[in-house]
Amino acid sequence: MKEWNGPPLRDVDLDNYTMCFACGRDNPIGLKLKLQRDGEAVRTEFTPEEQHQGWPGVVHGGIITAILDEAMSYVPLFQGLNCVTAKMEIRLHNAAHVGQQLFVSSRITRKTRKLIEARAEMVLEDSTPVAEGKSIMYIVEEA
Amino acid sequence: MSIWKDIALQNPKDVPMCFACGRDNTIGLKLDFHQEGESVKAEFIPGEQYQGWPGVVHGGLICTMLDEVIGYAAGYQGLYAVTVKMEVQYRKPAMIGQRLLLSAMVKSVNGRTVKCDGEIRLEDDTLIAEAYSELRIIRTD
Repeated sequence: MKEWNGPPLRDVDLDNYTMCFACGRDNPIGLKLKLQRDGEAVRTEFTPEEQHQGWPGVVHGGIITAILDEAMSYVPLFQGLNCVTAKMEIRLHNAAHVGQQLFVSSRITRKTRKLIEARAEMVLEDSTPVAEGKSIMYIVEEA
Repeated sequence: MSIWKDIALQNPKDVPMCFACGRDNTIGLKLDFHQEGESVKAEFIPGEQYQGWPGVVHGGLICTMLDEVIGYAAGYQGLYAVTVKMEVQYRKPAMIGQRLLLSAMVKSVNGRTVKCDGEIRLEDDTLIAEAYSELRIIRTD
């Protein structure tokens, strides 16, 4: 997305906005991710349930992608930059099973006046790689 | 990945709990696919529980829809596959309540690798997002 014709993001009261599918605490069907700052990185964890599967017993690639997308977009968000994803590349290395705890971390790898490039990775508890993502985000505005 | 041997023994048409297409998944998208020429298509009207930024469909779910319609494009050719790589370009935000038209087709099959394109458009043909995916075949019919 090179331009944003959605609603003005600056008007969003992020502290009281709780309906995001990925991070909203009041979205009844959402993932309810809690994203935390860890130095330059952002971290989160998620234990997928049966309704997050694609192939039986295996977490849906789209859910994995949604988690990576959210983790990457929180890095600029924590820096006061409201962004939307313009392009994302995902590589899925190993299947994640329902019930397995997933560990995600993300960080910014490049920044220009208009764009942010971020990367994220998802691993199992024993460090087995599940997926990695690279994202180009367009900075809509500073909060 | 040894797990795919187990998965490949199951009936790939019987996935009632799939987040994207399962009819029994209470939080799922319940996408219903059909074939139209060389393409596989589906429609979806996102409710507010599928938003990211207020009123805007979450990019991760846009990706989920693209991943699923692409998976079905391979599936309709008897190629049951898992995504190994996916590139998505977001063109315009999709708003809650807008009817989204999903379509995908297989571009090439080479050994165990299937390459597919997918896209999401509005009814007025506005391009919302497009994707290119590589999938690995785990079972053929």
